[in-house]
Amino acid sequence: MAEPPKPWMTREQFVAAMQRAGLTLATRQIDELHRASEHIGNLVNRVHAFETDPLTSAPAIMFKRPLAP
Amino acid sequence: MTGALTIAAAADLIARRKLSPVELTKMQLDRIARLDPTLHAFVCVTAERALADAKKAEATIMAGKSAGPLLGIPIAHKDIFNTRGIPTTAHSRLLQNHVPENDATVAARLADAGTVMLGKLAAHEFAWGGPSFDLPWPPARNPWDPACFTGGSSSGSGAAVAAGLVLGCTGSDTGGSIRMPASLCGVSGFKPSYGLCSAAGVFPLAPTLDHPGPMAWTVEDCAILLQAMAGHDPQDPASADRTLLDYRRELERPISGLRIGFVRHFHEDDASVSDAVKRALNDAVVVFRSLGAEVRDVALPHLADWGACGMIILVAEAHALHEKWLKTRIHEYGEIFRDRVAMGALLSAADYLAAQRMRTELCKAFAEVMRNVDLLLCAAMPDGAPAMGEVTKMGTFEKPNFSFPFNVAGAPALALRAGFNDRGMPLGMQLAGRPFEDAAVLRAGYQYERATGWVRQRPAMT
Repeated sequence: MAEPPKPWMTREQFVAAMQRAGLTLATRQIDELHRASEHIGNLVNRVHAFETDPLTSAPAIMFKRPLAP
Repeated sequence: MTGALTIAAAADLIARRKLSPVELTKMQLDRIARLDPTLHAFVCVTAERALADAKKAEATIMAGKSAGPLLGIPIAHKDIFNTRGIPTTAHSRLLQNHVPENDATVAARLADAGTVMLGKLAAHEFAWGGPSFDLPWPPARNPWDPACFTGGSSSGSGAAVAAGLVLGCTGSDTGGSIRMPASLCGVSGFKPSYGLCSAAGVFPLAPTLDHPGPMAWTVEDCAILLQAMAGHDPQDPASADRTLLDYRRELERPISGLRIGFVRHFHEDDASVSDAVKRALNDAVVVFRSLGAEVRDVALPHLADWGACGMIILVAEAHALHEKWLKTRIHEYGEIFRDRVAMGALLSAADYLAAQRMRTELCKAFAEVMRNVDLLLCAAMPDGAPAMGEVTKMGTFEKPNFSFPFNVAGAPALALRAGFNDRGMPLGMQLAGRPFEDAAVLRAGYQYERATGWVRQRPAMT
């Protein structure tokens, strides 16, 4: 049987991150958003799993440098 | 005259003095008074300003001065576009009393082209999230069935065009916010290349993904609006300084020989769509082939890669913009936007930069595919508009949408009507092109629209 996925962030880590950001949340919100944060965790994991080359994959910040063909 | 005119048709009548801009504006205001209490497409109707604009346009015509195609045409702006002296709220309690001192660049350019401003259109709060029922204004309703979702965030824009309340309008698109409501409301919505239309004076959501653009009943009307909106603006650091084509004239060039890549894996393997959408896309392939285009399947990176990259960038940039208010005025936000943007607190600088590096690679893959084809054809939405109650707060994080690839790539993308489902709700599809080859995208959309005639059917309520 496959192991269940590990939580991206524990409830304590989630609360600490929200406090660091200065966000005041009610307990109900914390429970709900902590559950929903799994989806963000999946997206973050997918981004970090994507292979990029640190020498050539410069961050594509397009301010003042619009994409050009 | 019903008021449900296209911009092209109205412009022709105005130029020939068969239609008075003042009479047209009065008809539009009557139509808004009749239908908007059901649709809630407008947050503010500027009747006095509209009539003044219309009288000015009429005086220009009567003086025998040459009339551009937007002279006397009634439009409106998504309420994240600044309008001088008129409240611009971003559909949020936080900006309920915000009255800008200047127009957004594109609003000023459309005014200079002689348009008549009917008012400001509903959006999702700060252009992300919805439908919301805890904001000072109700969410817009879909004219094809008011129990259904409009899509967003340019929700009022989609509803107003579909109901014929306006002949065209502005929208903005960070992850599909022009193309999703265009698809669900059965209108045409064009997200231009990144930097083609100035974002100066448009409340940002995620500045490296934000694209202002036009929405209208037809692709031709989008091309007419784009002509006025596009062009370099030193006030926008991301604005592109490029020579503009005559987008309307370009529409008439044949598309025979054009190479169209069908991104079938987006909707057959990476995500699912209804049978009606599959049929509509397959039928579109047949239509394009009958017009002389060459259509073949192509493979882009997985839809979920585009979605993850785009969403991490969006959440991080939006959180950075709202960080101060989230600390001091969090209770003034609506629940959906607040809870979505709060997720940015969980992201690190490394996450954001990893997403921007991933974007570089995705753009390279996009460019590689576009070496062999001129355009892409793909799904726009999984099906027609769902009921309002079926839209969930965090659903946007759970499944990748079909729009994000072209925000990530900064490429032009058009949503246009491709049929109807068995509930009679319109279905959309997307055409996309290489950055700054906006004209080719519009041209293929225009010729498809003309060949199929889907745009002849209007919502029953109108």
